[in-house]
Amino acid sequence: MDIIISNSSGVPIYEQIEEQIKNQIMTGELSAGENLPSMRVLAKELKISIITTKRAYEDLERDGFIESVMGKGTFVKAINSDIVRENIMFSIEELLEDAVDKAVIGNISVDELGEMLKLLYEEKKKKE
Amino acid sequence: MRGLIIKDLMSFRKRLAVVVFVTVAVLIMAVMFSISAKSGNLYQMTIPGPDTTEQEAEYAKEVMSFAFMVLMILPMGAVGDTAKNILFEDRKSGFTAVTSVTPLTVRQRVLSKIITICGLYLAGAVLSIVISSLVSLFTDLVTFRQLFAVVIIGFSICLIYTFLMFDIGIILNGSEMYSETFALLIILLAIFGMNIKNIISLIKAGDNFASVIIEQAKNVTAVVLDRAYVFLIIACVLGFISYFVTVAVAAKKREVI
Amino acid sequence: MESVKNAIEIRNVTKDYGDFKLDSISFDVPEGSVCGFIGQNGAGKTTTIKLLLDVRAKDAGEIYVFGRDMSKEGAAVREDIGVVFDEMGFNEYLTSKDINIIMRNIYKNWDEKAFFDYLKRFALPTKKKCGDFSRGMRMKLQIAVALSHNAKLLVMDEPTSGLDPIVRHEILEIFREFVLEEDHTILLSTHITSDLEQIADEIVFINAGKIVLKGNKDELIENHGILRCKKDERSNISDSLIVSEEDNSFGIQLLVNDRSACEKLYPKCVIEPATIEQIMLGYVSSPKRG
Repeated sequence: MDIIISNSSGVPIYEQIEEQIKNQIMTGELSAGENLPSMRVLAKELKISIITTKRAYEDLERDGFIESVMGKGTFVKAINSDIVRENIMFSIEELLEDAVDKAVIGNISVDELGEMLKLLYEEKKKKE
Repeated sequence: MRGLIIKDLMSFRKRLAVVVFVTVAVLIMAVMFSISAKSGNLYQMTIPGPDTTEQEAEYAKEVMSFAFMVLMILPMGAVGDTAKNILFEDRKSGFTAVTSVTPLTVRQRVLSKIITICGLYLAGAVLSIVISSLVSLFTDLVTFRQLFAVVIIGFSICLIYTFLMFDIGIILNGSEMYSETFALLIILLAIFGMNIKNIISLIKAGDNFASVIIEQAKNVTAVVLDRAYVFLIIACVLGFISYFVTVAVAAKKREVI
Repeated sequence: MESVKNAIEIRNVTKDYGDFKLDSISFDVPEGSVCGFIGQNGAGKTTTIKLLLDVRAKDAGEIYVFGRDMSKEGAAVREDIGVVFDEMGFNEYLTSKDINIIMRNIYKNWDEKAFFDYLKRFALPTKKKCGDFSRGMRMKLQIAVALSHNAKLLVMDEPTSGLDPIVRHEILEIFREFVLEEDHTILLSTHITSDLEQIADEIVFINAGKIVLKGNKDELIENHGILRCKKDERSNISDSLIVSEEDNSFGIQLLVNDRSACEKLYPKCVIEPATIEQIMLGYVSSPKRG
């Protein structure tokens, strides 16, 4: 598992950790049942406070990505594809919001916006 | 508690050489002295002859026996310097702060100091007694019994002096020099007070000064040597007082020991 | 969630020295956490630590360590506490080897092997008098002693002050190892706030004998912010959000205690997260004007 944090990005460190672990779970880099390092070890290795890793783990647990078993450690949960999909949809929505904002400011119609999106999507597919 | 006693013995360790040196020197001096007093130059002074009156010979004997007694106290005096260090160095170095955060209670900390100091003086006293027994084989100016009493008195006075320093240091939060000076002053005043009669008669003696002082010294020595145990009792009482006073003060102020 | 046990509980503790008073301070340190105890020199950090360890007698209040009353069981509880002061207290003629012998006869749980392992790791000589040690070596020696009797709580008074960055880094690493155990707790007094940014979970901030701020470090940093604005914009900003204010010729810099509220209310102002140091300075500086 790789976690690279930035102290100056403005994004809280616990969010950076959450984001990276989520990504790794969704891309399958971390598979279900895999044992995550304890939050104390993680804090030591990343040279950050335990409270920060604790918060990240708590959030991840709340969101259903990991589960902690008393006395055994923390494990990656089997991904529920609905949750993953929901998550992805949610972040797409957030990103599109910015695009819509810009479109409104620039007086660009929904059709034009849709066209743009379609083009970008097809290009990406082609590359793959 | 054992740890603290060991630590104080480590403090003594660096002064061990001094104590050994003094003891060996005293031993050699005492033996040479007694041989000389038996058949050497000193012996000549103790027999009345053309240059020596009978009285002068008598004085010489007395002075020599005093000299023996003083020699016996020296090994304990050498220990005394370490005792003083043991009492004061921890406050200077900050070791009191170290011990204060260990599981040791104030009582244990005070007791360990008292035990170490008594132990060291006792070791000095044993050395002195060994030397005394050797000396008494060589000379008949003093008896072993007399020397033994001297050692007991020396041991007691050393303890009294050290306990006084201990108390003054703790109660008045005094420095090493301050406590040392005051303890010494108290002892000197006590001796002065006990001998005030003798001192007055000495002043009145005028031309007979020498004979009077020798006479007095003889008397005082005889009286004191018979009552060596009194000094020992005073030392013990002071030891107890020191313990309780220090524990009481330390419980409030802490970090003094 | 299970209830959090506190390693340290300090309740309304008061100590009056005449010229300085520790005024009814209270704070907790949860078990398993690293608590940064910050404040200026003379703010009362050392006094608090000495009262905590029952090295000095308090005038009023209660102190519990591991749930045990320090004024009653202080000596026994100290068996489980490792302490590091800013000055080494060992007599200069002692060697590390001597210290091992002394401590072996003081602590029931003294771990000789652990001690010599730390000495090795810190590259401390065993036969040299500790009086000849450098400041960094003295500090490391104290830490080795504090960690070698299976302590569950480390209490340290300015352990990293006056040390070069490399030694400080090394020492912080040791602390991180120590709290790998879930029941290990650290109370660390310091004025080097960058150390705390890295390691602390909780922050307790003392000023002039009073606790002015305490809480979760991440929350403190997240809540507080530095807001910069033009002088004529100052009057728009609600006083209740402002902790302290600093004017310069070209604008105003404020320490605010609710960053997200400020971001919403004053989108035109520059708002950035505050460091512990900025927070500390803000609370110490003279009360807000205006």
